[in-house]
Amino acid sequence: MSTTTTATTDRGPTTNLSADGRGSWLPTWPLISTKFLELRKRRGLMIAVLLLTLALPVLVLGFRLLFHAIDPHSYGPAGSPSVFEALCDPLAQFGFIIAAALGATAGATDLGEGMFRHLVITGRSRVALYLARVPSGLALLLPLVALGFTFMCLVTAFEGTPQPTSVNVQGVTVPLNLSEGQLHTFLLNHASEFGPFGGPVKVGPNGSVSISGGPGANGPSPQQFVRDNFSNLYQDYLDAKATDLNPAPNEMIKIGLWIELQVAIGFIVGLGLGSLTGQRTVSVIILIALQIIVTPILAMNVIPHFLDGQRLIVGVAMDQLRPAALLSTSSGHGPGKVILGGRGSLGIPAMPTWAMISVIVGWILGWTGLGAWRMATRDA
Amino acid sequence: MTLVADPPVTSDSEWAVETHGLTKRFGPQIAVNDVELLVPRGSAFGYLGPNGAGKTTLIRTLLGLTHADSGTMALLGVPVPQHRAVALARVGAIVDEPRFHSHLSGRNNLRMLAAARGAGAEARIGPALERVRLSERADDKVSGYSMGMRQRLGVAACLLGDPELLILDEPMNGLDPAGMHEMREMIENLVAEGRTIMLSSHLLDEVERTCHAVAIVDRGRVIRQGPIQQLIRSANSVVRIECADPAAATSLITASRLAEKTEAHDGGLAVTLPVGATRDTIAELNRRLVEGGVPVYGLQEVQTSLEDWFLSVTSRLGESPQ
Repeated sequence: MSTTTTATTDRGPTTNLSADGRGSWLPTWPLISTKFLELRKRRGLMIAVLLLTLALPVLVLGFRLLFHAIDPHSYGPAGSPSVFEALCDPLAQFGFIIAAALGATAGATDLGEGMFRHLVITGRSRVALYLARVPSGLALLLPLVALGFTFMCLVTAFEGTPQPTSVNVQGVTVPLNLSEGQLHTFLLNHASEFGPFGGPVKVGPNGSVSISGGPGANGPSPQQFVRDNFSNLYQDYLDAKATDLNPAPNEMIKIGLWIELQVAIGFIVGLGLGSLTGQRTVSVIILIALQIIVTPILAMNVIPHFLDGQRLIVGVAMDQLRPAALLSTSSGHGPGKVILGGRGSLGIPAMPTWAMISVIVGWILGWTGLGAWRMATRDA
Repeated sequence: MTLVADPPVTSDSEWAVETHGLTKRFGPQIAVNDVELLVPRGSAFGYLGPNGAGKTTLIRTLLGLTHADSGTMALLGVPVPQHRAVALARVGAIVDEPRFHSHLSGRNNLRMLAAARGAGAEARIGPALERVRLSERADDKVSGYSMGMRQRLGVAACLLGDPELLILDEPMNGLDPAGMHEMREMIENLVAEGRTIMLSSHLLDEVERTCHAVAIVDRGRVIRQGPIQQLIRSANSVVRIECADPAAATSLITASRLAEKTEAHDGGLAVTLPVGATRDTIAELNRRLVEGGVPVYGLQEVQTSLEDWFLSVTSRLGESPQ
């Protein structure tokens, strides 16, 4: 503060005043990029984000690659369908939680650290200040999740177990990559290979299909048997593929999109809740409880007279949206194919597709609206 | 909230800040009470009051950090909150203690604020840091800054918008004497550039040294405002008299009806003259005492300071301002 240092401006202040667009609710690129910078500079949080998104698959698969390279007889290939599926779930779960933490940080810390007041005094629309946080946070999270998931896909595809060209469906060897119709035709043509069993097809507790009462001397014709039990045989075919085969590239893309959506929802809900409460820690605790306690309970148990309420939870809707290739053979509930090929993994009756989409979109828009409203009306 | 930019507003108002009947309540508590305030452009204006008088609340209301319950206000002639974005485009402010993201450097904090300011603010970061002498520490994390450095960073943040009006809430807080001196110089320079400074403070001496005009606020209400010298002139002046017989002198002065009040003071007398009394009144006092047979050893008119005047007009006479 010297009398001789450079002045901020050489001219005197003008009297022609203009808001130069700062009243607009649309966030500008500088707003987004500086918020990105602010989040990126939070070292502890960034380490946690890296660990739970990129480092999780990289470390697990990296060690498996290393062990296999050192001792291939004792350690199998790094990638396998089961390892792939085992990594997708934690990536989605931890991704949601760390995204919620990042969102709550973005939503609450300007206020807690005294920066909100400075920002408001600039005259910039408070809604624009809020909305700038959405792309900033997503730009941090989504590429990291995409990198981690891509690594998983690459290892599974190129360093995985050798891929069979056929699977076994109740003793019948069936080629891979048949559509539902093609499978139907194939099984009709090979119906005689099923052999006599003496009873109807039953689905066991572990999802395996046992066929009794199959085609035989006293039973229906082989073709009739296939026609009568095709849905179970198709399920068995899908389960066998899921167990033995890597997901097809298009299935991997669907799984990746589903995980990214899960992470994006975590961030947006965390951002809204953080802005609403002004408290980062409280918001994160609430969302962790939602994700790992409340959602699993509501997704697996029907509460009498509260089924529609259960379906309003975003995690329940996301479980229903879960891609088919991510379903373990033990699950199989759901309404049939919906977006991303999901058949649901719910233990409760599935909701209509339009309701599932409405719940997900409603959570995204609702929390964004709540957070923006609180920020626009809050005393700074 | 508008989709497009607000239209440019040209203001020829002579007032940088103008409020009428401004009131802000917190439940039953009235923090800002029917405030009528006029801050002339191009001057340093002090908003002076004891702690809890409502200074910060008024500033927060002006800046749109909280809403007013009633009344009207304008910054640089632009009504707020109706055209808040237009008005704040040329206003810089520090409210309360300046706080920033401590994990970011000073420069990066300014980058965030410049992004919100827009319109060339990014280019002013360097000169603003240089002006507040923070250039060398600009890339250090704010967590390592002293209170004085944060104050200076707050001033740099104000300068990003090339403001016509700066509103500084207790800008001397936390500054050491050298820092206060620098801040005073800074304010003088900013005023010399044609900007208006409105600062709130409870440091009477600082306001007297820095400001041209002042408003006194007490319990949320502005009780006096105007140029400092004019306000002080409107106060009672005091004459200290050293004489041989204070008791006789007191009788003579009381009989003369020239004084409002006469008190014993440090072996002599402190005589309070009525508002508007001139030096002729003092000469007349002297003549009466000498003619009454009281030898006068000394007669001194005591210059009323802003502090004396402040204490005389606020309702908290027993409470010394901090």
